[in-house]
Amino acid sequence: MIGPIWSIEWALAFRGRRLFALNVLIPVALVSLVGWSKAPAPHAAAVFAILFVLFGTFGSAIPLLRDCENGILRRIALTSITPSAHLLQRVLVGAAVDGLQLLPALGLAIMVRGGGVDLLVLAIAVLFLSLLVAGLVGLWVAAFARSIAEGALFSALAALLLLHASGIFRTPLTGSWGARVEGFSPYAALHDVLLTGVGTAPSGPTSMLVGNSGWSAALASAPGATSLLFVTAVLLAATWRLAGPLQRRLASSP
Amino acid sequence: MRVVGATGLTYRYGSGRLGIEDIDLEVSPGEIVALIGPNGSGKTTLLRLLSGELAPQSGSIVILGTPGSASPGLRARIGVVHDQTPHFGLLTGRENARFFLAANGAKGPESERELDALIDRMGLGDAADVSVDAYSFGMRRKLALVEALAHRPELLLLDEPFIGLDPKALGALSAVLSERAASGAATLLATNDLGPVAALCSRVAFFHDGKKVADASPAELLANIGEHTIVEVRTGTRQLRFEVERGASELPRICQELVDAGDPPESIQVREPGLAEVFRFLTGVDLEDRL
Repeated sequence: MIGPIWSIEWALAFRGRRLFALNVLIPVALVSLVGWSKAPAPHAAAVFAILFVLFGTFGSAIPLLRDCENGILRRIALTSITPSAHLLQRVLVGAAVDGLQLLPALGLAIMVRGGGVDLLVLAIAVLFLSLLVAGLVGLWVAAFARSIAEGALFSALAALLLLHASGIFRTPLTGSWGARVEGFSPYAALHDVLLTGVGTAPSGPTSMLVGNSGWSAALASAPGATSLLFVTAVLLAATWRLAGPLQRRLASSP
Repeated sequence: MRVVGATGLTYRYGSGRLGIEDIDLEVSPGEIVALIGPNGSGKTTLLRLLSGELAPQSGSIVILGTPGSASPGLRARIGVVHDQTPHFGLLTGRENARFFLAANGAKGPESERELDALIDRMGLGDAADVSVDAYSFGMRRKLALVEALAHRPELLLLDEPFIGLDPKALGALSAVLSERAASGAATLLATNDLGPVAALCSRVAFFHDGKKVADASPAELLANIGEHTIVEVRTGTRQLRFEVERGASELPRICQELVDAGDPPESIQVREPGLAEVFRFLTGVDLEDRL
């Protein structure tokens, strides 16, 4: 999957040192504030999940729309890079860079309240997949936005709706529609891992076990992880299949 | 094999504005064809259709023997310069150029050498390792030309390629395009800068209101205008231009009339007509007034 787009996006991410540093430090500051505060564990886990998902969604949609506006995307569309290779490389490298930038914050979120290294390893994998989904959502949002402002609005809307569907804001009643939707929502696994990290038992319909270790968290987030993998696969396939029209929309807007 | 074969091409924008209408155009290997016309005459629309950026609403396109708009595979054989030339501003000129080289499927030391040679020829050697954010408009235009040429495309589609170039870079570009033409590459360039066109281009196509109104060699087009002579007179108050049929023999009459009007000439220039005059002769529209 390493190609010209991967190489250029990777180089760009590290060339803007100030932005890179801000993208590391601001999540660390937020996580530190909440993690070391007396915020109840479910609230802390919700804040962390919202932060990470918004980071991934905005981080995908806004640079794409910026590249539409400055015309670079139109230029790339006229090279021999296929639309699917272009868009998927871009989302993958975006998830990798976002994951790298969020790693210190994730480490703090998991370990500040006693989570172990095994849990952190699991959390990294779940975070990367969640960021991949957020990046794909950001890509689709950008394709339907006509300006950066619209992109920001749609990104927030899409991310918050998916977070809500994933049971971040409240735990749906067992057997309810909300619980069924959560079973197919992408961010429940991230939420469960973060809940485990801050020392609370995940209690939603996707959760199975209590604990503060990697193994128990793996079991706890297994149903959520299944839905995360399912949504990731569906979004990847849809993006692959519809990359041509998506790129045309992006290259011709705003 | 023709490099470009377009038949009956028509494109109308969503706003209802006509882009081009019923355009036929053939370009053979080694030809350099200039598309000339006022703003909005359809030159850029034609280039966008040929590059595959727009799909024709009617008519057909054959590019390098392949029917239909350019696919990603075909694009590796085409070099495009747009009217606008965005780059990755944080990266250096060389990094940008390497990206577009790789994006067009060119790899290996020979491609790298070709790229470095083009960077030097276009006068970007000293700035190649500086970030593009620090580039002037002209430097960005030069870099875009390097990026379009580096993968040795068989077809070049250049929109306003002479804009922003200093005389040295203009000479270098003309030389590179001539060399590429000699090796069989075809070039279509849209321009209103007529200076380099007559010497560089083997054919000129005039566009007006979305239609092609002439397509011939510069010499054939100039022959259209007959025995006209251009007389440009500057007086104390105005600048006048006359197209006269009997050459310099009209000069005494023109001068006398200006003196009689109390506005005697301060300088007089007599020259042969150029492509701008041919365009006016054929369309009744002044090309320069609408630039």
